[in-house]
Amino acid sequence: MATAAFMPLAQIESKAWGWQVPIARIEHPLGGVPTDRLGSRAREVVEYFVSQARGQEGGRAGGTAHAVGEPVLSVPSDPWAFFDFIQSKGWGDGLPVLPPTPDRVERMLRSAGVPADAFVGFIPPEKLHCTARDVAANCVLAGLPDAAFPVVLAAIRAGLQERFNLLGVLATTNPCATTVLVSGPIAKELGMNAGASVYGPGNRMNATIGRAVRLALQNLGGAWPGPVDKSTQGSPAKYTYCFAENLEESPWGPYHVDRGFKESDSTVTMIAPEGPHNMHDPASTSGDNFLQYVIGSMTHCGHNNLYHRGDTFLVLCPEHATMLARDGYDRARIRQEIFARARVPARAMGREAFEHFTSHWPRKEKIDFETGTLSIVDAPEEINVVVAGGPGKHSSWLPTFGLTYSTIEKL
Amino acid sequence: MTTTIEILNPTFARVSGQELRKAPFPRLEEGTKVRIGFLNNQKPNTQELLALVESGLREHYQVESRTFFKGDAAHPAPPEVIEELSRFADVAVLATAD
Repeated sequence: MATAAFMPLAQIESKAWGWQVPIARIEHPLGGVPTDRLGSRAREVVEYFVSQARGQEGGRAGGTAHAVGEPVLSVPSDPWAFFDFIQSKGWGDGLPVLPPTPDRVERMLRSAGVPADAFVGFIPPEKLHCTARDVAANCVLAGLPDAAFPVVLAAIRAGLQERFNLLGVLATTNPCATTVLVSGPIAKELGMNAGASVYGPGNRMNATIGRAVRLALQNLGGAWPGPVDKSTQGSPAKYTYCFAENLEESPWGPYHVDRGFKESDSTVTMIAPEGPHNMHDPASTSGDNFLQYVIGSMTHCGHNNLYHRGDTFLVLCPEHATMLARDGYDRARIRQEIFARARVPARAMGREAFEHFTSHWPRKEKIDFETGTLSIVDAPEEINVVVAGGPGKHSSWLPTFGLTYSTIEKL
Repeated sequence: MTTTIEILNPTFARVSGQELRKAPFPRLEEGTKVRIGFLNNQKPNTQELLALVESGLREHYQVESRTFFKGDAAHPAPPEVIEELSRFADVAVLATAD
């Protein structure tokens, strides 16, 4: 069964599994409706069930699971008309795009030494068979420089790892965005920004890597905003969200070493966070005091990490990171302190939200509404610590979708 | 006259060739015994709605039902849950999209 607003997503997911499944349409919404008003929705389901049971039989629906598109299209050469064309098809993001001509796509593939037909994956929700050529077409559309193509491929491969839960990330009502963290020598080689305004705007590499990943997943997976990408409010982070680790000013070495890679490696980490939550602390002169500020910034409602599983990212500016390191904090100690001390009073959620989220609580601890507190993650290891940004006293926290874990690929 | 260029379709991906199958739905006469499995995604009001649906179906069939749980709304149900459900049920309400 699907509410009217979610019917297109339900149909696409059903087809992606190769099935045409009977779906009862019910009035939207379901959540938040007083229980005494659920009766009409239940009747819609019962009536649909009974009608199916009276007349429908199993068999072949005919056709294939997915529509077949034309691989090559003839489009207007005028840049404005081309932009209009892409928008009219729903293949853009509202910003100008470049034409993925066969020669331009071929050039990108050749520069990376990647065969055009190299298999990349089955991108949800439609789960079509996607090749490097298909991804490259979207990279050109996004204005990606050729040299960054391997980063986008690695990001998509990371996103296709099971733990990332790409289907959930792309289809959820949550405002999470597919986010790319680049760590290692490749960031500098590409001229990525790891310093001031690290989240943008300005740097073409950062901007187009994030945008290319988003457009490729949207266009090849079918995650169209509105009918399929069901984000209730969306997010500016969904246009593009990519940043590089500031290795030169990190007191703790590369982030990817923390995840088992060699220092000389370059890696791409896929994350599914909300937009960055700023933590402005210009006053602290000690690591202890600053960490209390970080904990205070994390202990509120509204983010999914509070009640779902999943990891989260603390992105420290170099000045905050240097202060913490000076006072004896390494990544492990930061994680431990935050895990132990960042707790939200259960009462802050209000009773109804508390009872809902704890009715199928994934954690072992039992929480009392009046006196209990909730940790923001399940374990210290789920707090990732990265250094990025430029001069100043602004760090950030990236709460995630919660039903996702960041995944990493080596370039 | 509008001039044109050729581009690679940015939405083109190879189809699997998998034929779309229609999920079988058993023909049920009024009063028939039927075992119905409900898969609860544990979102707000799902349990309440499924209980009302079950109650409504009892007006038409001799219903034996069981409710199964996905774990969370954003992941597919674990295979062992689907296997158990399919062993039990003649027909199932497998998903709630909202």
